[in-house]
Amino acid sequence: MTRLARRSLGEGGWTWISYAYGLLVAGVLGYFLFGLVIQVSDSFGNLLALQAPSLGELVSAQFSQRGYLRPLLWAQLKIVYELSDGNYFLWFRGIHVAQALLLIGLYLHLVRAKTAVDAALVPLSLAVLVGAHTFVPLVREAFPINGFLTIAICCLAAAAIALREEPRRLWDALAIALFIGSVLTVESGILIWVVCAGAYALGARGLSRRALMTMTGCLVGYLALRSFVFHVGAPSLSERASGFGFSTLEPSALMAKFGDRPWPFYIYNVVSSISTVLLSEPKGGVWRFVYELTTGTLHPWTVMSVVSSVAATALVGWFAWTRRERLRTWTFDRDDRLVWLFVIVLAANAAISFPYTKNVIMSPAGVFLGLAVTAAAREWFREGGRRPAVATAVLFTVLACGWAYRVAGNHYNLRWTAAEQRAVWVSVDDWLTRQRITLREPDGPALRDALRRDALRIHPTPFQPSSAWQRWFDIDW
Amino acid sequence: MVRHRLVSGRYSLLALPPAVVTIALAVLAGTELAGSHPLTMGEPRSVPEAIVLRDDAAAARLLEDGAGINEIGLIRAGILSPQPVLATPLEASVLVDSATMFDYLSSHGAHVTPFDSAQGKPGLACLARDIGARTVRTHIPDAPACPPGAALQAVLDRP
Repeated sequence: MTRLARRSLGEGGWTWISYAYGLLVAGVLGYFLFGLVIQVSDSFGNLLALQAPSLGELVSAQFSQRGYLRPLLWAQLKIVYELSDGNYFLWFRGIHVAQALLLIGLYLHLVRAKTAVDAALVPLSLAVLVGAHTFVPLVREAFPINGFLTIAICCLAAAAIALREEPRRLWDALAIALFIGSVLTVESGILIWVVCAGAYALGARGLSRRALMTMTGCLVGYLALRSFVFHVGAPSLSERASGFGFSTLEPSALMAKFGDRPWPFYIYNVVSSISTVLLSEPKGGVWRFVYELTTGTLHPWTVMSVVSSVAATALVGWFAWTRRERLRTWTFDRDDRLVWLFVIVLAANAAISFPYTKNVIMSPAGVFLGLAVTAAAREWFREGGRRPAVATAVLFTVLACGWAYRVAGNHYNLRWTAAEQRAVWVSVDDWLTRQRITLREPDGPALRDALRRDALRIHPTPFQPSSAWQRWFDIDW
Repeated sequence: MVRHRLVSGRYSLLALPPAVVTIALAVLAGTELAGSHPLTMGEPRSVPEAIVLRDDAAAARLLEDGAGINEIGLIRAGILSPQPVLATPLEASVLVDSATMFDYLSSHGAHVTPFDSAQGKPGLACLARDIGARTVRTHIPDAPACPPGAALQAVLDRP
C-alpha cells in the first residue's frame, strides 16, 4: 500500500480532484480562446453566405455540393448566427470555449481517475490531449464553429456510452442521434460508428446490439444517399493544397503529379496520417523533422514534438505487447479497450483522410492517443508492477516534460494567432477583392463593420509575448 | 538491472511538469485580468511599436484614432533590440519585414522614400537591404546605391 494510497480520498475524492484540474486546464484554454476573434478566412465568408438564404434553403443547398455533405454544420451556423442578434463574438467564441470545456469533461470521464496514481496521471494525460499538434487546429480555427471539434466531442461521447457496463435505451438513442448528427455535420462523423462498433467488437456492451445494427443501417443509408442520390464524391486533387515530401503542393502541382494516377498520393496520405499521430511527423504531410535533420537545421519545437510523441507511442506499444495474450484470447478490461479503440480509430481516421492530409482531420485519433497513453501509463505504475528504474525515469521525464513544453507552445501560439487573425481584419477589403466577394447591401457591409470593430476595438489584441520566446516555439503549422 | 517498486510521492513527480505549465498559464491569465502583464510587453504604445509586435490591429486602431502615419515613435527596449529604437511606421514594417503592413501604410498615405536623393541619405530600400527584409524589398523601388549598414545605423542613431 503506497503512502498516497493510504492517504486515500476515496474513489470520489480523486475523481473530483481530476475534474478540478480539468476545469483549470479548460479555464486557461478558454481564456486564450476568448483572445481570438472571428477570423476573416473561413469564417467571415461563411457568415456572409448565411445572410440571405433561409435555414431551409441553406440546408437543402448542401445536398447539391460536389465534394462535401455538411447540412447540419450550416444549420448550426445559421441558427447561432440568428440567435446571436449581432453579438457574434460572444456567441461564436463562447461556443468554442464551451466546446473545449465539454471535450475536456468527456475526456476525463473516460480517463476515470479513481486512485492517487490515476489522479497523478491526469496532468500528463491532459497535456497529451492539449499539447498535440492535432489538437491545435481545433482551437486555433473556427469556421466560426469548429465542426472537427464537434466530431471529437461526439467521438468521446460515443466512447463514453459504448464503454458503459450495460446498455440502456436512452443511451442507445443518444448514440444513434450522435452518429446521425455528426455524419451530417462533417464527414469525419463516420468515426462515431467506428468508435461504437470498435468498442462492441472489443467486448464493451454499453451499446446494445440492436442499436449498433440501427447505426450500421444509418451508415449504409448515408453512404448510399451520398453516392447514388446526391452524387457527392470525395474532394478532388484540384480543390486544395496538400503536403507531400518536404513541401506543400498547390492543386495545380498535385494535378500534374498525380492527376492520372492518384492512388500513390492517397496511400501517402493514409500512411502520413497514421505517422503524424504516432510520431508527430510528418505534419500536414510535410516531413519537417527529416528535412531539418538532414539539413542540420533542427528546431527545438520539432525535436520536442517528435521525441515526446515517440515516447508516447513507445509506451502504448509496450502496453500492447505486454497484453498480447489478452488480444489472443480476446478478453479485455477497460484499459485494454481504450488502447485498442485508439488503434481502431487511428486506422479508420487515417483511411478517411485519403484525399488530403491535414492535422485537424486526425484530431479524433489524437484525442484517443491521450486516452491510450493514460491507460498504458496506469498499467506501468500498476500496484505490484516492477519496472526498470532507469527506463521509468527516462520515459516519464521525456513524456511529462515534452508534453508540458508542447502545452506551453500551443498557448504561446494562440497568442500569436490572436494578433494574426486581427491583422487580416485591418485590410479586410483587400481580402474581399482578392476573393472576388461583393458585399450584399446593407447586411454585408454591416457584418463586416461589426466584425472588424470587434477585432480592432471592442476586443483588442491580447498582450503579445516577447519575441525572445519565439525561437523556442516557432511552430510550423 | 536496477529494479524498484515505484511508491509514494514519486507519482506526483509525473504530474509536476504539465501542472507547473498549467498553473503558470493560469497565473498569467489571472494577472492579466487584474491589469498586469507579466511575460509580455503589454499594450503597444506607438504605431511603430505595434507593428514590431506584429499587432497590426493596434497599429491600425492608433492610426484611425489620429496617430501620424509618418510620425516617429518609440519602440521600447527589449522589443526589437536591447536598446530603445525610434522609427517611423514604414521603417518599423521594414524592420520586421511585414509586407502587409507596408502596403497598408503606403496605401494610406505614408511617404515611401526608397533613397533620399535630395539629401543623399539612405532610405527604406537601403534599410530593407541592410535588414535582409526580402518580402518588403519586392514592394520598394530599388535604390541606386546604398552604403552597407548606413540606413540601419541611421535609425539606431536617432537621438
